[in-house]
Amino acid sequence: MLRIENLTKSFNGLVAVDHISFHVQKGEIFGFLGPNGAGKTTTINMICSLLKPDGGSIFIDDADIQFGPAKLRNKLGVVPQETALYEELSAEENLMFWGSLYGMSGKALKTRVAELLELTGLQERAGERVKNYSGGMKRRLNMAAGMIHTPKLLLLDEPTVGIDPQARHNMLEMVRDVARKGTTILYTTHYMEEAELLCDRLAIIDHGRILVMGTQQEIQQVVGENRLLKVSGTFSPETAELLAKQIAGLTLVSLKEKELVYGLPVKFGTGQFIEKLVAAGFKIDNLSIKEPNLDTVFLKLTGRELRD
Amino acid sequence: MIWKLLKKDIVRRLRNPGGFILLVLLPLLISLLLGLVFGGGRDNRVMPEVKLLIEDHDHGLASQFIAGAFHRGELARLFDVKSVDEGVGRRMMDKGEASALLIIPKGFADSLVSEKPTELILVKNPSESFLPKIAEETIGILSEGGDRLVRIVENPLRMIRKSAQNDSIVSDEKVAAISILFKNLIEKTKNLFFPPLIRFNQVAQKEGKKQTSGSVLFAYLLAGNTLMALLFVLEIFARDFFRERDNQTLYRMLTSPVTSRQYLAAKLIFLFVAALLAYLLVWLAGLLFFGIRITQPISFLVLSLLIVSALTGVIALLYAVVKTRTQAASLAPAIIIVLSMLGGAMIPFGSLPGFMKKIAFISPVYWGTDGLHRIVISHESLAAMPLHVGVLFSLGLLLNILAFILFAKKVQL
Ligand SMILES: Nc1ncnc2c1ncn2[C@@H]1O[C@H](COP(=O)(O)OP(=O)(O)O)[C@@H](O)[C@H]1O
Ligand SMILES: [Mg+2]
Repeated sequence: MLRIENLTKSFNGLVAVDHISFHVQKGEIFGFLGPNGAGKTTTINMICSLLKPDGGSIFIDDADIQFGPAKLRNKLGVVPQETALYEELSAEENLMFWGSLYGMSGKALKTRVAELLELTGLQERAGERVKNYSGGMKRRLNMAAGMIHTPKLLLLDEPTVGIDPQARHNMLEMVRDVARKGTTILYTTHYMEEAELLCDRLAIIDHGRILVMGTQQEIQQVVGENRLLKVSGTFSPETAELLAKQIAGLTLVSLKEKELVYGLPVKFGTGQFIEKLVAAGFKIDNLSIKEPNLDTVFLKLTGRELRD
Repeated sequence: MIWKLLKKDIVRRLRNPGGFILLVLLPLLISLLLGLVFGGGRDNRVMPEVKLLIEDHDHGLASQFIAGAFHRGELARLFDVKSVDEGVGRRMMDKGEASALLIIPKGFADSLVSEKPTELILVKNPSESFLPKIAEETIGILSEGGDRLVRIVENPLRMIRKSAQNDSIVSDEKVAAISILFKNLIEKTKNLFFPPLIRFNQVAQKEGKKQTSGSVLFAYLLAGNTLMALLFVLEIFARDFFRERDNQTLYRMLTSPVTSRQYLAAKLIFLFVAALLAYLLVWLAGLLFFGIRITQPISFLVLSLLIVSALTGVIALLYAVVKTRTQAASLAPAIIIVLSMLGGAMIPFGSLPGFMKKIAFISPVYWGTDGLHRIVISHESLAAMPLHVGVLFSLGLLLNILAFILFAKKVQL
């Protein structure tokens, strides 16, 4: 459905997207997980041909978007990172307007609008101006506006930023719902939990590069059955490296002046390990333990946490 | 598609009509205020100076009253009055040295007292469009006032004259009678509809033109003020270019089948339509409430379309050139004021310093204001001003196309 090859884009020397390649199968929810500034929005902008790539190609349904993006727009739905709505108009008027741009009209449009209003739980306040809506309501409407024309490919750019857990649950449910009905989805987020809950396959990206890609199980293998221990305090780097060599299975993921991350096999007791650290002369100010999940994958790959 | 976009913008604008209404009222209020200044204001610079010659053939009290009126107070600011000897006035008019010549005929005062109809003669310079008109109006008001004055005072005068003739002590009856007369007098002052005693006759210098009554001064002011307000209306509406970008609706629009050209066309049409609406509302109010008469409706409408499209082009181009909302916000007022100033919309064109007059032709406001003056005040038709039509049409076309092209580049990211 969506195939991307060697996509590249830089802004005044800053490489925002760096030779990215991936493909999303029909009906799949593909996650794009990465921290702020990773290049998610830039990638999406190029897919909907708002931004011209410096290099690489994008195919939607095997058609290169360089040739006739206008025709492809009917197949494409976008939920922008910022809410993109007319505040002076009501929810219903917004949806009617956006729908009409895709050639929808009359009863079909009305039915679809009513359906989405119900799905988003906005039907009771559908006639009210969007200006008076809460942040969460706007987000839901923003999402509905992107799927008004039942697109074949839906690009969601961090659609749940800054909303309460209940509204988020509702929105994730909506995404699953459209996916079940056959829409292919590219879902970008910096929330590890969302990616875990929602995505069939995903790519973790940072600084414009895909670090790892695959199903969740495949990605999990990067850290294996390892917990991650992040230690901050005072220690000598030599000792830290030596320790990693002495204990079987222990890996040194990252090492900075006052902070390091170890990958520790699950079978190795953490208490026992901390004792070893103290014995080796570590002065520990802070210590955190991460169970194996996507966050730990990111930590392992970059030495940083997703939410840094 | 363009219609869908346009409809959406119209609905949005209707939800917040406040600014729009204010901007329609603004030129009316400003013109009204300035018009009132005519009767007693401070800043005479808002008014053009009318060069008026007075040729007094009567040398009576009434003619001194009229001539004197122009030398006093507010009228003195508006008029540059020169008393000339008999025959001199005509010669000066022939040379185009004045806007109008007022001739007070021999026996003017006597006719007044004996209630015989009499005439004031105003000769107007046809090469000037509205200044003679102002002279005409003022003299009309003066003669009406003089007329009323004569009628009001005549009865008490007669009564007092009679008392004096009888040479007797005023009796109680007479006191009663006089008080009744004064009561009538007060009532009469309320009555505004006397048949005029002084007929006021105007003669155009060379060819006679059909004259209409109506507030010439108001029309004069309204023309400039409307165009200036129009620029402000357009500027406010043009902010939507940034609003759509900032609130990301432009982003969403461009991911839909809408092309950037359709989007821009809809926006430009919206600017044009909204400005035209504001413009027509202003003039409608002028017609209904301020006695402006438009005798050349087709010329007026065509000129109006040309004006609105040229001014739309000015603002659209401004917004196409600037990068940010702040840039637009700081540049726009300066540009609007310079263009309005040059165009004679703020200070009468005749009072502008010479260098400004020389470069005024660069401002579409100049062509618009002058064209409007000629149609609304001098009742010329558009056929008489091909240059105005040509300039405004070309500006409208050029500026809008240029704005469109520059915008298209910008919108495509
Ligand atoms: N229009 C732009 N001009 C310059 N730099 C940009 C522009 N858009 C994005 N960037 C930069 O590109 C990088 C990736 O940004 P973005 O794609 O928005 O990241 P994400 O959506 O993952 O948070 C960031 O460093 C950002 O500052
Ligand atoms: Mg982003």
